[in-house]
Amino acid sequence: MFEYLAHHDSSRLLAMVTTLTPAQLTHAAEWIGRSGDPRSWTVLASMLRHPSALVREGAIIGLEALGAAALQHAKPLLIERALEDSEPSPGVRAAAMDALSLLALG
Amino acid sequence: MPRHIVRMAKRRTAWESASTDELIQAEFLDRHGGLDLRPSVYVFEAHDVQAKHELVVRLRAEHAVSLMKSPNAAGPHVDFKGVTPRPPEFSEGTTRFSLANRVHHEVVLDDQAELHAMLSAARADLANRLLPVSRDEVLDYAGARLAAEDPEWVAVLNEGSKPEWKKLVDKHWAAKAHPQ
Repeated sequence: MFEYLAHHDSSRLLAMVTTLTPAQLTHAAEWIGRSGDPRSWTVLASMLRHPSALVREGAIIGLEALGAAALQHAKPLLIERALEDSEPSPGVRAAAMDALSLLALG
Repeated sequence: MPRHIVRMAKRRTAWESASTDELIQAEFLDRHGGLDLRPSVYVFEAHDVQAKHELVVRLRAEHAVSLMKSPNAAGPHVDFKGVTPRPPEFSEGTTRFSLANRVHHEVVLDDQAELHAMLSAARADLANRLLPVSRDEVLDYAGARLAAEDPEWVAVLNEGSKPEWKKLVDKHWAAKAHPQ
């Protein structure tokens, strides 16, 4: 469903985020990024501070899918997610490190 | 030789979830939102830890490049050895690689209770079951296979259907060849 909405109705996909569980939102976040909707960055950036690690990881994957400019713009937030002092989840830290590595590749 | 039953994770954090129910919701729903009572696994034997890791990296790379648009998510994967209610059934995989297709199986489960029990048993011993694979390892492997002109990898990456992968593998290898 998220894939379909990403391709055909990204407004509806973005509107759904407040109604989804973390287990759904982690996958929706990836498709929000893939939709390329110009509003995606703001939504994904806010998800980077979601209480659920699943959602924070999904937001990172969504930002990667959105593209290099989106990742660059989110760099300070990604650094925050990569550090043990500010990110308790090992999985989120690893995903943030991967995203920062991707950014470093150019 | 030990027989491993490896499930490829969609999200690294899924296995950090506080509850098995949340893990099921994140990792064990089919594309229509229904419970996946035939979860895919890769079944193989490995004579030591190193051989097991190398096979997991290879299978992860083959699985991901075939089924995912970009190499974003990566492990940790989980070994279901000893917790499946019955031996997994062979089910030929749908990847672009003969090894991954040959070792692809499904754990056939009766109902949600059986899925829940299997996952709870795995979670109880999770530290010994996690098989972490980094994206760099996957890109290293993919680049090495391309450099070796492996026909399966050449077919997947050089035919144009996986542009995000190709771009990333090329950049990764260029960065390794010319570190800053």
